[in-house]
Amino acid sequence: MSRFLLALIIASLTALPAPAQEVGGPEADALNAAVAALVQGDHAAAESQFRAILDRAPQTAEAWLGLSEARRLQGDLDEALEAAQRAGEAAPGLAAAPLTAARVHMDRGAAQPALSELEDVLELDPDSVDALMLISLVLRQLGRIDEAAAGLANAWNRGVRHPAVAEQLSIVRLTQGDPAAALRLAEEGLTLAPGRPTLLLSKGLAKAALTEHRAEAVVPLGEAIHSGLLPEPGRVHLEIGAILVEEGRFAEAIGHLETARDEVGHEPAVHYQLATARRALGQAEEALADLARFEELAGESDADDATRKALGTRLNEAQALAAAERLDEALEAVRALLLQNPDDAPALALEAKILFSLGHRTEAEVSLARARELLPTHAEYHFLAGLFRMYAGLPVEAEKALRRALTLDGSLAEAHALLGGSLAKQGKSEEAIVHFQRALELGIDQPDVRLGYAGALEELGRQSEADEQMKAYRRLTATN
Amino acid sequence: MTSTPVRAGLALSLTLVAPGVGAQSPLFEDATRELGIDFSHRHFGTGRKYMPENMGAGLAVFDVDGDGQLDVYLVQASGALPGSTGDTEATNRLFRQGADGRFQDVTEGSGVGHGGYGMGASFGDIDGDGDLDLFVTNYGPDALFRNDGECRFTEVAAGSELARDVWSSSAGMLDADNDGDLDLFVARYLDWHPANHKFCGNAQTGLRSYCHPDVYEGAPDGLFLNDGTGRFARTVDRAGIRTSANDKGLGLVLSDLNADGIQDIYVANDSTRNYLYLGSGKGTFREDALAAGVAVNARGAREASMGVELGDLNGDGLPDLFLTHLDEETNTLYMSSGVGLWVDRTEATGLAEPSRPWVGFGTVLGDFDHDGDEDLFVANGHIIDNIDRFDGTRRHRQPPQLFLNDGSGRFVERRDLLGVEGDLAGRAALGADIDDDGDLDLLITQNDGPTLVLRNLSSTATAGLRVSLAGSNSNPQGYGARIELAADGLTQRRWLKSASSYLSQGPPEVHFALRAETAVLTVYWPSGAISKRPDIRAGHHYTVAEDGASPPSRPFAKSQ
Repeated sequence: MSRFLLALIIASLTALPAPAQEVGGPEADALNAAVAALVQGDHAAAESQFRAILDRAPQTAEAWLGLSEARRLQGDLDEALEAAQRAGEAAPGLAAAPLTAARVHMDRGAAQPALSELEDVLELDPDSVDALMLISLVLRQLGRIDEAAAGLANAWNRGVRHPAVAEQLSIVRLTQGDPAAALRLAEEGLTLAPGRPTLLLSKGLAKAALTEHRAEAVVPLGEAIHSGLLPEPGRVHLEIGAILVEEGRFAEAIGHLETARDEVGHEPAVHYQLATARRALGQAEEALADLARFEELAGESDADDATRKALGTRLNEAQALAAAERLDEALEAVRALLLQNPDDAPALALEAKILFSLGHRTEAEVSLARARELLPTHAEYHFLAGLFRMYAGLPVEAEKALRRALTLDGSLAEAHALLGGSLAKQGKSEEAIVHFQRALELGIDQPDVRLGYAGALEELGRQSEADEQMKAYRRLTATN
Repeated sequence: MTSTPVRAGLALSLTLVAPGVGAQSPLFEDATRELGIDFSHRHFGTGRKYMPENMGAGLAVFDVDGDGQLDVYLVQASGALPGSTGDTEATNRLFRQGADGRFQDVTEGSGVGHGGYGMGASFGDIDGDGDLDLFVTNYGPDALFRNDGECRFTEVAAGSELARDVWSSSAGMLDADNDGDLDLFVARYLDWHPANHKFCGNAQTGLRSYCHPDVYEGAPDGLFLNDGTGRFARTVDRAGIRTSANDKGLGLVLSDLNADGIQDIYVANDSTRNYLYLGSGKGTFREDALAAGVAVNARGAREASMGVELGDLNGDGLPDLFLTHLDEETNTLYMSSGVGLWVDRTEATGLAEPSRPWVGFGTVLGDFDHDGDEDLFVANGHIIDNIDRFDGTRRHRQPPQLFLNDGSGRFVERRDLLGVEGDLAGRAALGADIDDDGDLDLLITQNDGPTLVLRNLSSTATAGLRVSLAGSNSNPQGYGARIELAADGLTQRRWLKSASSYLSQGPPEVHFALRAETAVLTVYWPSGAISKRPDIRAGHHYTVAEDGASPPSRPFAKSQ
């Protein structure tokens, strides 16, 4: 199965619907108008309308939820969180309140508080599909795929027969390499929601991954395309075309591949598959033209590859010098590399690390900032930013960078450890404990982690647990 | 990936067509010790992770002395790389089969105890004197040994173009210019030498690993034309053989791939596009892999090709190509989709997912279970011997894999039938009826580890036959011939290959399973001649002569 397609399907699942607003009572019209403004994207207008309702009736939980959502969408996460909490105070049994708070935490990259709020939702409404979806999403972002699967499977097996659950679980099963289970779930989901595009896509991808069903995959994949709701149907056309070529159904393949070419024509594989199909059909000249285009695109890729690999080798050599603590030579080597390739983010990050080690912290920050600018989704660079800030005595700034790192890669153990330290420094001991624990689970058993963990436990009066951590700390320092 | 019920269903259908193979009875057993093949490859690594260390080594199985029994030649990495003393005692070894079926190390006095840093081996009668001569590829100068027919060899490559100081991998013989003698094609791997050795691994901890081949340029392959007396001259540029930095050849198949009656060359390149050289019959070639669909996989991606095999896996009469690759890629099956065109059908045949976790090297196609179709064996083993220190989910020693064909070209993995416990650092693999009982046994080499011989047990239930050729207008061994066996409306096809798998060459013969009482054998010779021989029966080794003077068949030593 195409890994890209899997990524695509997962991406489509992250765009979860906004929380349903329950609107009723004496302020119903005003609430409806405010919700309408929110839905239409006029967040500022919605905010002022919700505020007006709250001025008149401060205990209107729905208005607090609406305000929270409006502020969240405008980027004021502190106020959004406060509004969500006020909604919960106004209506203690309202599951939408912790759900909304969870979304705010997720926007902040605070996975653990988000999970905690979502567990509250499930206490109020054990079958909340929104909560189940969000828990799965957060766990997957943290790299805890098996837990995500277990939660969804548990809900599904106890009777939460919602197509979204089937869809999400089917996708998780695909990522776990269990296409047979993914297929079964997609088919069950489709009995609940016939024609649901993501379920059709999941069904098609699962079939494509199963040798005995592979040829059948073209039907659900085709139906998914016909829904008109797939974000990049060209890639699905390519998948169908490839299967048809494989099956020797060359004439049928051509149509799909031509559509794929129109939509994702930059992909070399499209032209390669087209060339194969055309050559099999005796369309020699067209096949040659497709191959030429393939060569052109793949040649570009090859050239990029060659350049990248040459850079990688030189970077490796610079890293080796740095690891041997020959920092001046390492700096010279990486700067020589950057002279030729000033926008090579890994080289910039290495330069930042070397400069930092040499005590040139301002220069290090400049190099790292450039690396982050070039590759903003690279978790390690945000982790480094967090590290630099911790050393600079800026735990709040460090926290922000580390949360960003963990949003991008929840399995970055070092970032969990450092975030634990940053939170502990700020007196946020409970949350610090969660990250220290996670760092240990991920295999970072270092004295600093044990020491920080012990301190946070002690802060909360959990002395015996703190003592355990101190024992572990002493054991590590003794052996180290 | 195949679900359990389907696996079970296919397994059931296989037991129905091959009644001798019980659901739980292994098809093979380890007979290495019993046969007396006591050989362990050593790479003499220094810890610097020099590139040649992890690649070897290969083997050749052929009748060295013309006594009708197969002998085994095993390649050793005996020449020292810088920083290593090597071991002068550890040379390539020749094991000769005695009348009792056991092997004896007869290296001393044979002249083939070669001391280069060995990679692979190939053989053929290069001088037309009726015996098989031996070519050995090395990291360093290759060696060519002329056979005197009595198990004594003389090295004749020294000083010639064959003995250039390069890194050769697989080699094979073919009649490239249709003059009746055997020419030589040598695949070459990387332009690596100690002076350009690079650090790869974890720079922060200093932990070294073997580098990816992308770090180095390739080494151009070589085509050497025979003047008829066993002297070879290199012909590359004018022959159409490429010379570029992308030549990173490891695996090799020599055969008529586009069914035009002329010998072609297929080179499996590691991480660069594979090459298909279509022959003109005049010693020149045209590279056509991309247009033919065998250069890159279905996604248009280059793969890290190691071993390669050729066979007709779906019974359509056309040659299919199977290639082994790195982990996280899949092995790839290019199935013929008309003359001269192949389509990647790896996913559809069940071979993709089972191969993804492993690094495949040697591979063998053969009818291991005697049900009339060709099955598949793959020897796996990671390239990086300390891979577990970089990624705890991977390991150096990996399981060998046996896939049974359901007759339509769809495969089901049946490791339980292999009879091998534990994992291997697998490299070369060959199929050969080593115990002369009519079925295909397996020989597997390991990197820095012992060679294994797995004896096939299926002959107790059904019968096989073997066919050798004696060319007159064609080359002496009939390399490149297509051989068909027809019985009961079923035609099985084999190609007599001088190179396949990885760094290796199996015996110059083909094997069939025959369940009908008699069959008709047809040989399509490289010269264009066709020989037909009726009344073929199982339990025999046939030799078909191109000039019609075929000797009588020989019953197998062990009754079936």
